[in-house]
Amino acid sequence: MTDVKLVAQAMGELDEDRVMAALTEFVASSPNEAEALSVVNACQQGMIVIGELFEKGEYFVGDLIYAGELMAKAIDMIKPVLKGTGSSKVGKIVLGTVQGDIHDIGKNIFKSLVESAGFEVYDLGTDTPPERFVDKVREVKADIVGMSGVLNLATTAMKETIDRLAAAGLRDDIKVIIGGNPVNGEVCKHVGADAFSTNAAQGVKICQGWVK
Amino acid sequence: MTEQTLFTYPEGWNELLAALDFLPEEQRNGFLQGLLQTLLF
Amino acid sequence: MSDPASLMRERVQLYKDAARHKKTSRVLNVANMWNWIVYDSGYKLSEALFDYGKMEDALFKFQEKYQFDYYNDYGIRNPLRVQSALGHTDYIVNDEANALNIQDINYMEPEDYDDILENYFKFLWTKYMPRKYPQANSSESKAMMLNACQEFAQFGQYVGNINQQFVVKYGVPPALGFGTPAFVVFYEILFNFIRGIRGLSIDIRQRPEKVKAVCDALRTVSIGPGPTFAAFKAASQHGTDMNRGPDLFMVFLGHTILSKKQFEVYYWPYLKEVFDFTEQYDKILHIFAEGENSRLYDFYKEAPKGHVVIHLEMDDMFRAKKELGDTVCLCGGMPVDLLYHGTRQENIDYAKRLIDELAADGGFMFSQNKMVSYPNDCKAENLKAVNDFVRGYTL
Repeated sequence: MTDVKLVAQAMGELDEDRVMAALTEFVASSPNEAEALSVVNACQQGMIVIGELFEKGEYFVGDLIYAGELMAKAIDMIKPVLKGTGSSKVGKIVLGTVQGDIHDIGKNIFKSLVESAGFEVYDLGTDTPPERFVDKVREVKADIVGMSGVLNLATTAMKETIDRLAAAGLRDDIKVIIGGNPVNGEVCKHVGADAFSTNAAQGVKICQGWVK
Repeated sequence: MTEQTLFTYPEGWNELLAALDFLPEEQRNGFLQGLLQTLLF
Repeated sequence: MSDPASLMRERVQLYKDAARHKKTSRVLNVANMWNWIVYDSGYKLSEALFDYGKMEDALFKFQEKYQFDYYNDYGIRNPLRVQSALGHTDYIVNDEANALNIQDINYMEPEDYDDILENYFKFLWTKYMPRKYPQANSSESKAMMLNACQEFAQFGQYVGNINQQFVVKYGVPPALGFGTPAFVVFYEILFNFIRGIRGLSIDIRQRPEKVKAVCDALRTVSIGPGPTFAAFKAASQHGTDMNRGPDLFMVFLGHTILSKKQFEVYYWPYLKEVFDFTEQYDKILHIFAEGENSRLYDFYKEAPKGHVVIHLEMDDMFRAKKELGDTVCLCGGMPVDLLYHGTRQENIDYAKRLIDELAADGGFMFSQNKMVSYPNDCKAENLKAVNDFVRGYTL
C-alpha cells in the first residue's frame, strides 16, 4: 500500500519525481476506490502545505504555477482508478477572467488550490462576457463567483458582471470574490464584490469561510 | 515542406546579410541581430 | 527659465541631484504614461501604433498639456509595424477598451536550452523565428524579412527622431526606457519572449541547471536592439552623461514570480555586476520594477548609494523610503486608483504628502505607481491638477 503521508510530503516539496514514482506504483497495485480517494486526499494535503509555504514567502508565484501543473498531472494519473465517482464537494464556484482581459495564470493558480480544497469549479476561461457568468451561475446554482483580471480595465468588467447578476436576481444567493493585480479594498467596494484577494491561498480561505 | 525558407544557419543568415546592400558590410550583422532582438517583443 | 535648452539642463541636473540624494529645489515628475497618451489624444490605438506620425502628434499634444519632466517611453515599447511585416504579433489591439493584450507565450522546448547555450542568435534564427512567424517560414521568407528590415530601419529613425524632438522642442531629456541604453538579465528574455511564464516556472523546478547555465552564459543583454551589457561596459568612459538622466536603464518584470531564493540564483549575480559597474564608472542606473518588491529589498539595499534609482510599481512607498531610502533614490508613488476615482483636491493632497514625506531629504522622483494604459487608469483633469501642483511646489 502506498504511503499517503509520503505522497503529501513529496507534493508539498514539489518533488515531481517522487510524486510520480509513488503514484505509478500505486496505480500498478490495482487499488480500490477508497484507496484512490485517500491518495487524492494526500495530494490535496500537499497543496495545502504549498499554500502555507507560499504565505511564509518560502514559495512564490512560479512555484504555485508549477504546483498547479503537478497536481493536474497527479490527478490525471489517478483518474482511471477513481472511475468517475468523486468525493462530495464543499461548494460550487463559477470562475473566469473577466471580459477584455485574457490573463489566466492567476485564475489557474486559484483554480488548482480551490479544487484541492474540495470545491467544484466551473471555469469559464478568459475574456468572459458578463452574461456567461450569469448563465452559468443560474445553470449550476453556484455558491460563489470568482472573477479574475490583471489589467486595470478589468475592474470595469467586474462591476458590469456584478450588476448583471443583480439584475438577474442572483446576487443575493451568491458570494462574489475578485482577484488579480488591480483589486484592493476600494475597488472591491466600488464594484460591489463581497471580498477581494491578490493572494490565491488567501482567496481559498475566504471561500472556505463562506461555505462552512 | 518549406524548402526555400531563409531560416537556416549560416546559409540563410548569410543570404539575408548579402541582400542588405543598403548598409555597409561591417554593419549588417549587428543590424540583423538588432532586428531579431526587436522581433522578440 | 523656459527655453528648451535651459529646461533640458535643469532637468538633467535635477535628475543627477535626486539620484545622488542631494536636496533639490523641486521634484521631478516622471511620466509612467503608456497607451493612455493615445487615448487622451483621441486617436484609436490601432491608428497610433501603426502610424508614427499620429503617435508623434499624440505625444506632442500630451507634453504641451501635461508638461512632464521625463518619459519612460515614446510609444516605442510595441514596435508592431516591424512584427507585422512578418505576418504575426503576440499583441491583440482592442480599440474599444484602448487595450493591448498579450497572452503567455512559448516558443521553445526544454531541449532548446543547449541550443541557446551553443549560439543564441542561431537559436533565434532557426527555431524561434519559424515558430513565432510561421507565415514568414515559407518561400516568401526572404521578401518578408527584407520588408521587416525596412520597417526596422524606419522604426530606428522614429526612435532617434522622437527622442531628439522632445529635447529640441520641450527640453525633455531622452526617454528613460527607450532613449537610454536599456538592459535586462537574460532570465527576463526567457520569461517575456521565449519560454513564457508557465514554461519557465516548470523549468525552474524540473531543469534548474539548464536555466542557470543559459543565465550564466548570456548574463545581461539589451532589451530591443543594442549591445550586451558586457559590450556596453567595455565601451564606457568614466563619469555620468550630462545629456541624459540615467546612463542606463533596466526593467524588472519576471522577478514577479520569483521567491527570494530564486531571485538570488537567476537574477542577483547579474544585477550585482551592473550595480558594481555604476559605482566603478560613476554611472546612474534607472530601474523600473513591476509589481510589489518588498521581499527583495535585501538585494536592492546593496545598490551603491547615489547610483541607482528604482521605480517601484506597487510597493508602499513610505515603507520603501524607510527601508531603502538610505541607499536607493525612489521613483513612483502616485496611485492610479486615486487619479481615476479621487477628486482633484484628494489628488493634490496625496501628491503633496508624497513629496513632503519622501523628498524632504532628497532621493525621490514623482511618478505614477502603475503603467498608465487604460481609460480607467486616470482622469485628465486630475492628472493636469497633479502635474501643475508638482511643477510649482518648491521644497
